[in-house]
Amino acid sequence: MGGSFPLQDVKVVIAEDEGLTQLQLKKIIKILGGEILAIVSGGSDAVEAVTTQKPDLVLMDVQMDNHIDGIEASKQILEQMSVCIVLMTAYDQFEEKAREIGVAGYLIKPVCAETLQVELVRILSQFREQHGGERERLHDAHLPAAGYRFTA
Amino acid sequence: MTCVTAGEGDGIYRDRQPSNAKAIMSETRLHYNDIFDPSLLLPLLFENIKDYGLIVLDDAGNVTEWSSGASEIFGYSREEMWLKYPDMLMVEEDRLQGQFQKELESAREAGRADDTRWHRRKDGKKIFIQGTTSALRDESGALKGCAKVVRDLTRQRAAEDALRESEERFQLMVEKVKEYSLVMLDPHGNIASWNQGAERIEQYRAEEVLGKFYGMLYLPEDQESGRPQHNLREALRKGTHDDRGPRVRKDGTVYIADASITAIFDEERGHIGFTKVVKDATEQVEHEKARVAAEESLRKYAAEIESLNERLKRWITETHHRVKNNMQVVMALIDYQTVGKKEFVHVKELKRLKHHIYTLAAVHDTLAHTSKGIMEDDLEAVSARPLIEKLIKLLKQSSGGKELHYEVDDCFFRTKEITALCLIINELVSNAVKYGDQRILVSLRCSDGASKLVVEDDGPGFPEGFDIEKASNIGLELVQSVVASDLKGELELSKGEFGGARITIRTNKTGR
Repeated sequence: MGGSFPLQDVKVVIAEDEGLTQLQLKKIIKILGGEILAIVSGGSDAVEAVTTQKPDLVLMDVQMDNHIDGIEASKQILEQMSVCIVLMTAYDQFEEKAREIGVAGYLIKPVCAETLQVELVRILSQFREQHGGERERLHDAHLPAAGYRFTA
Repeated sequence: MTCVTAGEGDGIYRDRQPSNAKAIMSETRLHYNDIFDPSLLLPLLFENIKDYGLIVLDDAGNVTEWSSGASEIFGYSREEMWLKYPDMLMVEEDRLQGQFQKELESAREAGRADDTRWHRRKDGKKIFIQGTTSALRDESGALKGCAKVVRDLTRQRAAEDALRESEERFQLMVEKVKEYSLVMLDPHGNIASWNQGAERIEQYRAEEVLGKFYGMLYLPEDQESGRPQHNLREALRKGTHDDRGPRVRKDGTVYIADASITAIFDEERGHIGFTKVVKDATEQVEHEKARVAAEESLRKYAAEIESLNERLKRWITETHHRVKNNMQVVMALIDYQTVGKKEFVHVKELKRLKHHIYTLAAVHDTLAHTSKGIMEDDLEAVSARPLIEKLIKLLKQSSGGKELHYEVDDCFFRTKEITALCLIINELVSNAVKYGDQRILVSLRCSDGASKLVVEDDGPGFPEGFDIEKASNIGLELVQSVVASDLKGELELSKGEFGGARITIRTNKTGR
């Protein structure tokens, strides 16, 4: 495990209903060394995929073409298990709600590869610290200051 | 020679005034003149009667006796008036006309003359005097002079004048009031008086309605139902009864009357009739209706503005979201093209990106300038046709001279889906330009809630055993992902009509 693969061995589920963003995330996660367990485009599918495949990290869009949006899907998932969920949306008005239900991070679109690398590593490290995980499993030298931080 | 001469007589009581003449006459069997000397009583009469003025005139008409009452009334003392001719008491006009002389002559001829007219006091004030002049004749009928009894009626006259003037003013007011119909009814409801206002409002002249039952002013159906009688009964029961309703004018037009009928009674509570005051409330009713309508319109406009505001807010939010999503698409495209690349990105990849940005801009521009795009939220379906036509014109510019044909139905999609559709067409047409020969066809058809997008060229087509999953065609990978995620559709690769590659995308996503 080296510094060029900061998400090595991190199992990821992507819930995103935009095809291009799916491709973007898929590519970035792969480049960072992560393992993609599933890519879904709806809230219900996200709940199903996460609760059955138990990933380390969930990238969750908020508004998806489904009767369950990303907030509700996250809530249902977190009621069943503890997992690092990062919400991604063009809106900023769901931040408070996300905080309430225990989502680990909140990223405002548009997001680029560089931001994702820094933020995903930081959020996952922080989540693991708070939940007794192993920080040393992450391999990024540019972690920002600790603390819950929602950012674009 | 005076008009009055003191009586003469001898009697045991003549030196004093009898306190009870009747009793004395009864006791003594004496004649009245035996016991009573009028000359003793006369000065007392002249001295004590204040309410009347007693004036005695000689046969020439000059004052010889002037009571204290006369002094009170005219302000002149007995001495001042002694032997004066009394026309000095008259107002100048009457004096010039010789009214006093005429009065004297009438009295001399007829025995008496009544005269009531304005006089003037010593202090110059006018006083209204009622007077009676009587000729004084002796037993032979010879004229001895005249006596005049006067009474000051100035106050009564002033009160009467004030009352008369008040009544005249009131009558004039009633007559002249044109805004209101002021009508008196007898106890049976028959019209007893009719003013100008009534004539203006009801159009009847007084002679046409006086004595007729006032119910004639009601609509025939109201007359039949007994509304006029009912209103009178209510006025009698309550004192006053107000009634707003339709009335009919002489010319048959109907107006809205604000009527108030009041029962009137005499001092002994005897019912003597009704007063009826009517105002033409047609304009007021119309204004009221207009006001209510205006308020209703205002409420409607306020609700519409509120609704428009809400929709505008939603639209701004959606536009903001759409712009950010477009930025995300651009960002995703850039990442998709650049992540993992060591140093350089091929120019063709940048051109592909440029086309996508054009596409996104065209979608955004079209949505922002159509009424649907502006006023409806992102969930509303809009036709993809104008956008695709615009996009194809754009793509023609970079088609390298190849024929780009299109057949596009009015298929309705949500804006997010239209964006996806345009991105797909952009990718597929770019591929067709690259691999095709001369002709490229874009077709979008929709029916029964499903749509079919076909892009085909006349190139060599897909190689035998082509597997999109294994191919390294970035464009097709992108299309496949967008079709699956954004359109929830299916992608099919086949041989086209011209022998080239045909890509068919089927989706149930269509708003109509």
